[in-house]
Amino acid sequence: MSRLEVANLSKTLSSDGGTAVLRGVSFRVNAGACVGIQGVTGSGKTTLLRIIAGLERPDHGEVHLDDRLVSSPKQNVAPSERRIGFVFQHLGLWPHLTVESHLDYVLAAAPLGRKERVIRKAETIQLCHLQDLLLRRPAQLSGGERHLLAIARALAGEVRLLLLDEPFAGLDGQLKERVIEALGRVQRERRLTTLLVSHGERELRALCERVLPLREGRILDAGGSRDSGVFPTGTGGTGREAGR
Amino acid sequence: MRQPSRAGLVVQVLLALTGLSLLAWPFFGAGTFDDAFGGGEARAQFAALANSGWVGLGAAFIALLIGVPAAWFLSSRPRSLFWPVLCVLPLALAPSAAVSGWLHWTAPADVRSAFRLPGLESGTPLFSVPGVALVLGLGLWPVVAFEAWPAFAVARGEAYGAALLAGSRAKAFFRVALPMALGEVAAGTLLAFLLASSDFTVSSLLLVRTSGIAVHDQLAVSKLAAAAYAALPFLGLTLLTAALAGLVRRHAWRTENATPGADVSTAPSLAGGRGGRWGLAVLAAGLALGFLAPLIGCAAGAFGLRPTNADAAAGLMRGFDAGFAPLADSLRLATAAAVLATLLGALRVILWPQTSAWPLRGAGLLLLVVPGALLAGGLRSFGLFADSFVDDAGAAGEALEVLTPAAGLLMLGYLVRFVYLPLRLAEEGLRGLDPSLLESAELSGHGAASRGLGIALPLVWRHLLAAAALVFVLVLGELILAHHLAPPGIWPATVWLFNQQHNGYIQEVFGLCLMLGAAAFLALLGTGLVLKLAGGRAAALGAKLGWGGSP
Repeated sequence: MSRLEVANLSKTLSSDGGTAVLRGVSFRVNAGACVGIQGVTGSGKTTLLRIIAGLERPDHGEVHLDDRLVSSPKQNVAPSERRIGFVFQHLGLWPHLTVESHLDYVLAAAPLGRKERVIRKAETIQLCHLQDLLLRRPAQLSGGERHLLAIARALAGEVRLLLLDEPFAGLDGQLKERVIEALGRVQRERRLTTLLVSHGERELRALCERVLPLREGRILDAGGSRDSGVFPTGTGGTGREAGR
Repeated sequence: MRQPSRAGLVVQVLLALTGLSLLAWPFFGAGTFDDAFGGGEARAQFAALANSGWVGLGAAFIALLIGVPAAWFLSSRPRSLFWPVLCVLPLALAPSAAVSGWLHWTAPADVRSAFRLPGLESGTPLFSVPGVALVLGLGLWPVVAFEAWPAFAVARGEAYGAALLAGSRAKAFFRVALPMALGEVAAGTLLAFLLASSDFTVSSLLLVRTSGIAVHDQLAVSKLAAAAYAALPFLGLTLLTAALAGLVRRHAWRTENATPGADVSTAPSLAGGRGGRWGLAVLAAGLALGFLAPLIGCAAGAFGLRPTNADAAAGLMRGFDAGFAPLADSLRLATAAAVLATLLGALRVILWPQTSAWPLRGAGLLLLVVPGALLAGGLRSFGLFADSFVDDAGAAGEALEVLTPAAGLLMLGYLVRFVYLPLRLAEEGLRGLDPSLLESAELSGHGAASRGLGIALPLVWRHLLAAAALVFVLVLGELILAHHLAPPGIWPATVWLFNQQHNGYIQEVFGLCLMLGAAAFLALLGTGLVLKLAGGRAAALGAKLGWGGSP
């Protein structure tokens, strides 16, 4: 479990005609909390997660993990050193590897002993209900099973922060319920600091203690989120300190 | 795809400069600037450059005429493997074989069977700048087709669909699809121009003096520096062309702007499977003229259907007997070059799985288009330096000499010449991957090499196999490096042919040309089959086990 602090983060995408996608975003997620980021397409949600993961550098601002500066315009701790689990919007599963090989590959790089790896693998498989799918490749899985595999892969290593980028995109009602249930179980059992990006209110309500609305690259204050009906609006503060 | 890190960039630039330095080595060899440009030589050099330019322009024009419709047709079949493999055939046919085939059809028997010198009346229009351009253009159109094909696949999206609703297919193609792929079409055409204008094989066999021959002439008398100076005008032409290509690409509408990371296999195709009959007709004509017609000409010559000498009917196999040994040498060299090129491509994937290798690719492209004789000169200079180093090194040098294969210099030449292909195809493969595949591996703590080996390499091995097949067939038909660098005891087929072709196109020449064509065909067919089987493996396994779970 780690504490995440994002301070005054800004980013302009040069490939997008110089559009500012993040404009001074600041918030904090306490250790073990699950916080949602809600926003429409193009509001900068994915860019925010990618900067936190170290896959992109900010133009301004800082990201701290447990008081350690990991991202700033001048400093960028390598993604492989951050111990972050990331569920990508399009999952990014490895088509040539089986379910079991996915977990083995992740665990091979985790700072765990042989025994711990075996235990962690078994736990993750059980947590995500993948017992009967170990020898299948992603193409041989259903939509929901693929999402579960992506979550399992993100959790398998020794992660301290879980980032979920639209993990319910493209899932219908029943599959969505299954994934929400799996993520809820993860939250209950692992108490992992989690940042969930979505534009669906239902899943945010089910999983998050607090939701931060992101509009045009800015985190709106509590009043703004209350007006827009976003759940919940916090404790009457600025809405930028989340998951207390 | 990310730009290389500072350290990666330094390593790539150093590697690129190491490869390019081969072009500078000959300047320190024997010969002077006056050897190349003194007296009346300057005029001859610029006449050769003009011939190169005309040959390049003619060949590029033919390549454009066939390549664009062929690419348009290919883009209508994004998942087909059959058509792309078929389209490589004209490029894979050895230029020596193409010349033999066309000579069989166009030249009278006395022209074919006689020793000829430049300037002599040949009695056939093939011995001319347009003739050289025709033979080269018919072999190089796949270059344009393969450059433009992915761009056309992307261009066949909703924009083209909307244009179809507003006008005819032709109008939609010329007003919407073609402008969207203009940058790629121009890049392919300029590459065809450079490849044709630096050619040695076809122009020397058809007695048209181009820059490639001017460089070769100096190298043939061991004037390495003079050869390098003779290549300077052509290098200038190459830089001008590169600048033009850059300018066109900067101003052309880029298809990747519309669809980042667009991949041929996933590109939307509103036009469905309709590539147009005209596209198919032009592609078929390109295949017929670029591969079938010359190959059938070789077959006719080999089997003595139009005997070139009195005892041609002595035996059906006679045309093939003499060619088996040179062909075996060529096959061995081509196999080794293909394996080494694949390893280089794999190394690139492992070292930089997420980053572009543009310095290496740029250097590889330059080494592909410079006159082969200049590269051969560089390698010969390097060989001489290595020999003197080995002589000075005593016992260690002797051990090194034993470990170095006899054809080491030639193999190095092939690698340097064709390294662009594995680099380019590896990068195309990596570019087609969803970035999150490698990013998720990165987040799980794996280093670059581990990501390259564990994730990227298994996903782009098909691209590397295709590169290996291309290197194999191109090495099979390569002449100039083999001519200057083959060690005693190794006599590649193209060198054997070159010596015979200048003395007359006898039955054995046609026989070996036919075998070269057949070997290239079989290599491509085998590669296509492996790619097809591997592609369908996962699906077949799923079907066999009754796993239809994929939604």
